[in-house]
Amino acid sequence: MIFYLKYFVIAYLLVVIQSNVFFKGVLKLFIVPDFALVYIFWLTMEDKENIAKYVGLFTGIFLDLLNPEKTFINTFSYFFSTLYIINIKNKFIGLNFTLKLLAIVLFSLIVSIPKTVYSFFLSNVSLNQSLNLIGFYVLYNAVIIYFIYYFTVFVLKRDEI
Amino acid sequence: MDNVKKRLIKLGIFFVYIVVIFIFLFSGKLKDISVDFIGVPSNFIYSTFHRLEEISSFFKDKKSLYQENEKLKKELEILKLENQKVFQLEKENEELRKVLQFKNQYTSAKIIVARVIAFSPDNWVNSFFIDVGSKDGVKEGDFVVAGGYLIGMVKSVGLNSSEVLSVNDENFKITVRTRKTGEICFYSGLGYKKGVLKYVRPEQDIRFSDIVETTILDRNCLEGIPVGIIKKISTKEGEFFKEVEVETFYYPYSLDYVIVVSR
Repeated sequence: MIFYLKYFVIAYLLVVIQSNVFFKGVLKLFIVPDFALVYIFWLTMEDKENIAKYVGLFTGIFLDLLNPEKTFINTFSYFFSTLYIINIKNKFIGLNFTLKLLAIVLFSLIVSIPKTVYSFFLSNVSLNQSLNLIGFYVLYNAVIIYFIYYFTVFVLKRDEI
Repeated sequence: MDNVKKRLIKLGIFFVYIVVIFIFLFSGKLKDISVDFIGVPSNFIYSTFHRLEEISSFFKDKKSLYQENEKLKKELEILKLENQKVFQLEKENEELRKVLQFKNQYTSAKIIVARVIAFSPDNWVNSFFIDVGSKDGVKEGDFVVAGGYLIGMVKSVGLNSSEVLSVNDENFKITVRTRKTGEICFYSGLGYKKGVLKYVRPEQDIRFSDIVETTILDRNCLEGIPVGIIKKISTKEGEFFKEVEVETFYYPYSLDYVIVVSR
């Protein structure tokens, strides 16, 4: 139980970090990187698909509960995009560095597009603004995953090949 | 036959899962509890950062502190002089109010000072968390003001923290009034520093750079709190209503202390 609980606690802490005033108050970032999404992606890549599914569902529910409006868009997008990424991952024997970057781009897009469409239908937010939001969101997540794999594979020399 | 049964059972379990998730997401109580889940650790992180800042400022070199002290002394003298002026103005103002029997609209309001401790983890939502909750008397629908301008409305209230929906969010909707012409409109958030007045009829007198303020028509509202300034008025071809864009005063990058106003 405790073994599984740690994954949920980490996801919860990542959401807390993501919501911290540091990003907007100190770094003045308009878009905050989605650490929870990167974590789910990392779990998927590290062959913890089952846990990734539940962590994806938990993160989605938690984000929806934190949403001021009653919605299920995060639960839907996080859970189903996790399933999709697991499906894609299983089609390959192993993903190299570039493929991992492509996969996180795809993952971020799958998560962000339903949210953008949802907010577009809610009120006609300009397309330009939405594109900027999606663009930077994907870029931030890709940069984080790049650094994670750069340090774990190249710096810490954990490459098994 | 067994296969069909198995599939039906699986479908049933999936359906039960979906129902449970929906109950989870649409129960207001759970939403309020989740606000505390993010509020308490965020408050702790914020306090720790604040302490670290205090410690770092303590270790500032003596020279800069001395210079700062000198500068502050000068400023203090100027402020003392200004304070005298303020006293005079206040007295004059009070007398004028008595003469005009002007009703002070905010005296009936309960004011709670709060600190912004976190922002929404979701990039698609414009909301933030404050360190006061139901324990301090905050209620859902209370207005949040910073620098004299309306910046949001309390949406979920936890025990020790609350979530505030900012005026820029697409879900923020209130009835407003233009200050100069007194036209009643419907305001909705639109994105970064932007809002929009909806359903403005062609005959309504909406003027450029007029201030949009809260009106008593909204049941939660205190009258006359500025929401934004009208920046663009246009008419789309084939559309009946005017398109009015409002610039709001909500700037998340410099938010620290805010005021929660409730009746």
